[in-house]
This record gives sequence, C-alpha cells and structure tokens, in this order.
Amino acid sequence: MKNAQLGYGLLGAALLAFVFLGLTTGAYDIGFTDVLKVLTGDESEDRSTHHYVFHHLRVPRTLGAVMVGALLAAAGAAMQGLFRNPLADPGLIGVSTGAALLAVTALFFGLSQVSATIGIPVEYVLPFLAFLGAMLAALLALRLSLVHGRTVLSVLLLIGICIQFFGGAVTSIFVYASDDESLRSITFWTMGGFAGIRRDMLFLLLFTGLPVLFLLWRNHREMDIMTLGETEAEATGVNLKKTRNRIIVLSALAVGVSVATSGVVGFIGLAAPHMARLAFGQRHSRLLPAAILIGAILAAASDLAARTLLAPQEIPVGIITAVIGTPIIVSLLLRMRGKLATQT
Amino acid sequence: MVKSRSFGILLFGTLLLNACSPQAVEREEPSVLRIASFHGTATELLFALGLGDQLVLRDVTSSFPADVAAVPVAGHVGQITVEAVLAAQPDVVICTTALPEPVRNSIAQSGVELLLVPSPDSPEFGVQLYQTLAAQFNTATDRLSEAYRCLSEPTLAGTSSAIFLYGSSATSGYLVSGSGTAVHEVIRLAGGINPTGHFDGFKPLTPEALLAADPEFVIMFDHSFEAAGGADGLLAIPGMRETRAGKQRNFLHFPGQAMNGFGPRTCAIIRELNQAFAR
Repeated sequence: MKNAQLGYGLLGAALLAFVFLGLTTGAYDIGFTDVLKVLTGDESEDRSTHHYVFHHLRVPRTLGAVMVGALLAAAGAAMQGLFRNPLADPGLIGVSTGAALLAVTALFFGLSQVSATIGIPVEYVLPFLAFLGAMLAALLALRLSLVHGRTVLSVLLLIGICIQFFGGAVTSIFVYASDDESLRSITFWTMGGFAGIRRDMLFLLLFTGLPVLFLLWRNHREMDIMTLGETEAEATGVNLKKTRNRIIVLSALAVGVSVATSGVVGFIGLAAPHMARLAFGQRHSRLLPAAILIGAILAAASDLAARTLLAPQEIPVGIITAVIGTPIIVSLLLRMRGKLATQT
Repeated sequence: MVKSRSFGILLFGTLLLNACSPQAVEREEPSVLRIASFHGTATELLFALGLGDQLVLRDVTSSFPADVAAVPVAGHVGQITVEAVLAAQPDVVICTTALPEPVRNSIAQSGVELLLVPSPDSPEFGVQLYQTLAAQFNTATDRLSEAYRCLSEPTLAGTSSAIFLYGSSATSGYLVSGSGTAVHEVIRLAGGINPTGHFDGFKPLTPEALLAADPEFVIMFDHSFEAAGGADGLLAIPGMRETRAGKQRNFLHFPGQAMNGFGPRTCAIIRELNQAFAR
C-alpha cells in the first residue's frame, strides 16, 4: 500500500512537472516570470499577446491534452478489463472509426461548406461530427450485439471490427477522391493533435470527462469481478448486463470527447493501462487511477515534444505518442517478463 | 498662433523624448512591417516586390527564391499553429483559405492583421494576387506588371497536344491532368491542347488512356521527372514508347511552383513551352 502511495505521488509529481513545462514552454517565448505576471494580472508590456497565448492557447491545449490522455487511458483500462484481452483498446468497438468517418466526410466536402449546410459555426463542425460519429458507432455496435437484451462480447468485438473495416473503406473512398488540400487535412486529422483545443472545448472536456472518469472508477469492483469470467461474475451477484452496457457507454463517451477535441490519438489507450498494470497490479481500484495518471503524463509529454522539438513547426502528436510509448512499454515488458509469466 | 507654436514645441519635445527612450531604441525600425506568408507564390511575389527581408515566417511551400531559406518555417499550412505565428510577432499574415478557418479566426482575434488572398490556381487569380499584394504594400513595378502580362493576354498560337503527368511509378503511379487544373491552363496559354481535358482534375494514368491521348509532348514538374528516373523512366511506362512523345523523347519539365503557381515566373515558362511546341 505504501509503495502504491509512493507510486501515485511520483506520477502526480511527474504530471505536475509536465503541466508546468507545457504552460511555460512553446514557440512563443513566455518566461516563468511572465507566466506569473499573466496569472497575477500584472502585465504591463505585450499584455494582450502574452495573455492571449497563455489563456487561449497554452492552458487549453496543455490541460486538454491531460484530460484526453486520462480519458483514453481510463477507457483502455476498462476495455481491457471488459474483454479480458490485453490487446483491447478504446477503438476496438469502432468508436474512433465512427468519429473518423464523419470527420473525414466533413473535411472532404470542406468545413465551411458543411458549416453552412448544417448550421454550426465552422470551429465546431469537426468536434461535433466526430463526437456524433463516435456515439453512433458505439450505439450501433451495442445494439447489434444484443442477444435477449444482453450484450454478447464476442459479437460486440466482431461488430466493432466490421465497423472498423467498413468505416476504413468509406474513409479510403474519400481519400481516393480528395484533392491535395483535403487529403492533407484528412491525413493530419487522423494523426491527432492538441493544437485545436480551445477554451470552450476544454470546458467541454472537463465537464464531460471528469464525471466519466469518476463513474468508470466507481465500477472498479465490477471490473475486477468480470475479469474472473462470466459465470464467476454472475455467481457473485454482479448484474452483468447493466455493468457491461454502463462500461461500454462510459468508454465510448470518453473516446468520443477525446476524438472530437483532438482527432485520433493512438497508443495511449493501449499503452497506459499496461504500464499501470505492470507497476500497480491487476486490481482496478489501483489500476484505473494509475492508468489515468500515466495516460495524462504520456499525453502532456507528447504534446510538449510535438510542439517544441521542431518549433515553430509542429509534429503530429500521434507520431510522438508511438515513438515515446513503444520503447517505454517494451522496456517495462522486458523487465517484468518473469512476473507476467507467473500471472498468466 | 502662439498657441499652435507652443503645441508644436510640445509635440516635438514629446517625439524627441520618445525617440530617446529605451523602448524606442529597442525596437529597430518600427515602420517596417513584419510579414508572415503562407503561400509559395505570395512569398515569391513578396521577394519580387522587394519585401523579402521583412518576411519573418513562411510555410513549407514558400521555397523560392533561395534567400527564403533563412526564414523560419511554420510547417505545412494545414499544421500551422497560432502560437507559432504569434511567436514570430508578425504585423500581417498573408494566407489563402488553405489555412484552416479556426486558425485564421484565432490569429485575427489576437490582433494580428490577416490578409486573405486568392489562391493563385488560375491565371485570373494569379493576376489578382499580384494586384492585391502590390496594392497592400504599395509596391507595383513595371517589370513585374510585364512579367504578369501574358496571364491576361490571348492564348499564344499553336496546335501541339501535350499531357501533364504528376507522381512517379515509385509511389502509387502517375496521375494525368484533366481540365480545371493550373497545368491545364498553362498548356492552353502556351498554345497547346490537352488531349485528356475531357475530365476534371487529376486521374490515374492507364496505358490505354495514354495511347488514346497519343500526346506529342509530356510535361512534368522537375522533381517528378527526377523521381520518375528521367526520360528512360518515362519510357518504361506501359504504352509510352508508342506515343508520339515517346518516339521523339519529347519530355519537358519545369519547376513546380513556377509552373503551377501563376506567379512572377509563370509567363516565362509559358513562353518557353510555346517555343518548345513550335520546334
């Protein structure tokens, strides 16, 4: 227990450090003292630009990245527990594909055009459609996998894969028919990024994300029991039908708001829960908070690297998450091989 | 009279004090506009208009003239972030609608002037871009007006048939230009006929379509021509040897930005192409 507390303490400190670095580092030079001035309201020179960069760009993207990382990691941990499969990631039931499909459709027809057609300000077209696509895909997968009012996991998995293939094919049609500009927009969107998170989107992330994280954590006991298998879980009195649907809907919501605000950010949802499991064990009461912290750290660190390594250019964050994440998880796996072998 | 004189002395004194204050010393030349340009042709034009040394940020397509290499790159226009733009402290940002609207809105909100220019993907828009920038910076020159003249003049004479190919066999094959593209317009202005002009935009090239088109000339961008492996590489395209262009090895290639961008160099290419057709 003491070790776990120390672990959380270290993760929390690392997260704070990356958030601090994220807020004080970037292409635009705002030093630590300037940040303090902005925060305390004492800004004499260059007031408007400092203020604008800090409040409208840095805070939303840094805290937004933290929230997206946390949500993807929590959804990943929940899905891995639900499917009892270490390869499960939040995109497994086609949520990201659904989001990508509608987002790519909008990018293909042009955001301004779509904005005029559906009557939504152009800034909100992508987030709105991505979220809508994610939810529609999740509902479709859930609905089609119902047998006598109960979600059958194997069917859900296959439906999810079908949605991924079908969505992928339709996306490819748009890519094939795209002109140069929309092709690049589509490519960049599918690589993910936190640059587009504005203040209003941060509020959306916080208001949706925090309750989702809390509700997922509240199901930790059920998730533990479900990892034992269906029959064993039912023997303990867990209402499998309701619990499953609840976890799936919460995970879909988590991925939906993430994709809506930052595109498809890969790897965090898969890697963070594994890292957490290796260090904190299988119990979801510990695993979920650890995964959330690790996901948040991975996202904040990746965002920092994405916007500083080649500044003023920005590297798509999906590239960074995979490049940073893969060596970490491989080295952890190599170190913990023995422990894992005894667990399985 | 006395009142206005004392006001004048006061104003002069204030200006003098301001000029000597440390703040004024820090800012080198406050009247010189700092410009960010996110379109290759616009950037090329800025240099042609003598404003190159005021450029503080550019996109990846802004690669001509060579002097532009000293200016920091903000990335591809679809990936440019507001913070990167503000970090360069530009007074004015020149962009087309290719810069995503949310980014444009944020830049405008931050108080930087945004100059939205037409994308020069047709001769008319090329001329419009020149006129917009020349008017904005009050720097039109006779030399440049001359360089742009052919874009608004009647088409040069000729009947040669020429197709434009893009891409290379190393990637996903070649695309051939139909109508409604910049290169189609360049072929037309140079007095050529595009035998694949019956469709819109670019389409993958098939051997049968190549044989049906039977062009006298094949035109490419320099980098595509190189990537294709030069004339020998093009002759390896199925069907190419049977065309008139293949038999004569009539393969022409030009710098992409100059040919495609309807900028200060495009008319020279149109003339060169017309002469090649005539030969």
